[in-house]
Amino acid sequence: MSTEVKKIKGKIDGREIEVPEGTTILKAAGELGIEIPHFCYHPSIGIEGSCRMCLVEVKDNPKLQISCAVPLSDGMEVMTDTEKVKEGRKGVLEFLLINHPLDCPICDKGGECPLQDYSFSYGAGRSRFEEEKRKLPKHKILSDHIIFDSERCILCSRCVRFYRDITGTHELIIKKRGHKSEIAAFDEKPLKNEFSGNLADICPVGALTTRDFRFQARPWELKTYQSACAMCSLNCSVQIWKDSNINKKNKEIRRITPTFNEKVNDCWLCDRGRFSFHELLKSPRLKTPVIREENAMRPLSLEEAISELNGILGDLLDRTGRESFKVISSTDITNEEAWLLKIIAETSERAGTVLLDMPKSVFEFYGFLKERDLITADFTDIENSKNLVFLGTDLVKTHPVMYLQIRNLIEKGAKLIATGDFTTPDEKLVTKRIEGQEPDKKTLDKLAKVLADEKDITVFIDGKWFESGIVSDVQEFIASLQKRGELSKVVIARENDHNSFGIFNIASTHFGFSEEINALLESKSAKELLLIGDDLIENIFKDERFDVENFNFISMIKKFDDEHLKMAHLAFPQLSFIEKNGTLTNFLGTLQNIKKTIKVTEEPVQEWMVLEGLARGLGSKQKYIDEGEIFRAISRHVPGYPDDPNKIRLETRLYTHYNRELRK
Amino acid sequence: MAYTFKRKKMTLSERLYIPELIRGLLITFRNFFSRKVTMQYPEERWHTHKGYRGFPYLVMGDNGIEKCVACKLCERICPADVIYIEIDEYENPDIRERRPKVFNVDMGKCIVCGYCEEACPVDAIRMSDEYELSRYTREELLFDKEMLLSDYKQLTKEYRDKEKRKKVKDK
Repeated sequence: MSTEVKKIKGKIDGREIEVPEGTTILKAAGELGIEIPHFCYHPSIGIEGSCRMCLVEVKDNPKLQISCAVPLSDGMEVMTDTEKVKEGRKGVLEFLLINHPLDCPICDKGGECPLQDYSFSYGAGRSRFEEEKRKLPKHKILSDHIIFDSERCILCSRCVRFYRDITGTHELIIKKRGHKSEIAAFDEKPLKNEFSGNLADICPVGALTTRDFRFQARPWELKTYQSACAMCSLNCSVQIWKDSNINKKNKEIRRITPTFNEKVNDCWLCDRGRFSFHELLKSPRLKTPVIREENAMRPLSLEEAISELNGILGDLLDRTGRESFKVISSTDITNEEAWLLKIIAETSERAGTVLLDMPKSVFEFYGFLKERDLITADFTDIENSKNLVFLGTDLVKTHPVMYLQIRNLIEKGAKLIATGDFTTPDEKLVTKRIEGQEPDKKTLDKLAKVLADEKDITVFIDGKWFESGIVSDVQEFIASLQKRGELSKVVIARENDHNSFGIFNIASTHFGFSEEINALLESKSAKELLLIGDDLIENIFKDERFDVENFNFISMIKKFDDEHLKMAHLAFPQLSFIEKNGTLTNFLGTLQNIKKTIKVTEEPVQEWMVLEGLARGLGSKQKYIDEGEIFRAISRHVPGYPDDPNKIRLETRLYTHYNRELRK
Repeated sequence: MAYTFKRKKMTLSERLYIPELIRGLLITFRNFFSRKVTMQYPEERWHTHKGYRGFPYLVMGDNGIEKCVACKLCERICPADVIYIEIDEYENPDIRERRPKVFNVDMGKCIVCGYCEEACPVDAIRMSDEYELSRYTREELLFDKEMLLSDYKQLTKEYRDKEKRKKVKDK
């Protein structure tokens, strides 16, 4: 930003502070570590000023001011701890509690509820209200995920504003007037939204809660783990909440909530990421390595299974030669596993032993972008761009939370220019649409014309554009934009992208791609297979050209115990992102840790152990003891990665209502 | 430093021994005629005072559901971690939204401090006047919801009868 923001000086509680002009008192106080209680204000939703909880005293001002909406001005003196302020807060809380039911013992928010905490810290301790509280519908089901208790609601309107300003779907409204006001779904329609789970996070009381967590546990008996969600390639920062009650025998995962991370997901999480763990943990899983013996699967220990794998492969490879062994992997693997795949590719001394389930053109495009320094490092790289250009993409489907982020940028004044195959639930977002449904050169030419005078451009490219054979044209288009000096970054937003950017960072030349998988299926040259990933296995088995009879030996690394497992001669369990340690790189290039929070397999079986065993069987001398050591090996190889996985510490700050935690 | 304790010199009557013996026996004889204080436990039992803190029990509500709403405050405050609760959704949410599915108290570990009674927001757990929940195994001391809701005197009686029958059978 070239325009310099004027700085102003003010005093809060006698302490001087200098902030950019326009900063509200609440934010400035937060920077000083002074806690001002608030309900309706939320840093990512914006200012409403309806709860009146954040009252502060401003010198020479007869009345108390709401600090969430009043900006600090030059020479202003603010007091947040005077008798007048305390009296004001006490009054506001007494009014809020008039109609708030005494539900704390049965409320899911109890224990992490701002209203509870503030009543304890600033409340009067007793109510003078003797009349009856208002009666409103309780336990009203709003959607598959959300349940609503109208009596508990304090009408802060955060949820209404979230649907109005952040998702733009306007699904919740405030119905009726005066003391009869209540939050309701517009037209009583069930909420159909990718982001409804966030309502439970932003609600400052227990009015909106998620149905899967309803009466499951109290927050104080849960332990949290900082991790990242791997359901799409955005990898939102999340906290995983797991039982920690010492009397409970099998500790379960109870919920996943987002953490504030400005580099990735702000403080949002989509429903797919939030609720997916139920299905992951409930569906039948492969729990031990298994080997086929006379049409029955016999469970094995890991050591046995690895020596079995190496033994069988050794025998077969001696007969058929090394060319016939292929490892085919999906991109849904951690950086550590990618590193081991690289070692396997290296030790087999031949490019094309390890094949990835992604188009080659994408990998080449990453190389092209890296050469020209157009690769992003995190979301802050595209935050300031004025023009967002979309070649295709359906962000709600591929990266739901990214859609919210882009909406936010457009709200702030960025322009969105898209091709015809760009899909959005809200057409109003698009400033200009280029005609042409299919990715072709004509569309690119038109786009180039439209962009002739624009500045600060960020380009998003969909996966479809890499399959259409016009990749060189896209490269030309990008190159010409860069030549003008107005292109800031390019982002590849594919569906089922998983960790492909991370794999590219680790090993850009060692792997084969889906083109080679197709060739392999056609030529029937491979005789021994190792298949990694459930989606990939399903796709390969669905393929007409694939015939089990053609192969001497099929081994698998997969999560679920399904019909495809019966086809395997040897199978190893795969772990999902909540069950293993490791690192992931998201499609913008941000590196994050994932944490093992729950044990699914009976003994410690992890993919990296299997891959390491295989690499050693093939002749590798590398020995690793854990994921951390593999990461250290990666960091010596990849510039920019920290030398220890524990040092990957994004500034994830859990947004609760405390400024001191906001500041942390 | 060694310390030498100087003995008091005994008087003649003390040195004679017999007068002192008689003096001591007199106290014994006097007690033959005073009121007896020994209680023949377990045939005889004392009544607990009002406010006596015995083992905790669960209170049944008027409508036939236990008063407990499974808020887990007692579980949280329990210093010996003897309480374990699992929450259940009640079938008719208009009467009651939640209730405990599992409510276990390990009486073998319970220190009878009464914190659970204090923490309870709905007066669902109280301290009984029961002080003799002796059982033969530790497993039998793990009380579940049904047992916590029942009368402890009756429970103990049933347990004793069962044990007696078992003994007869064994013989």
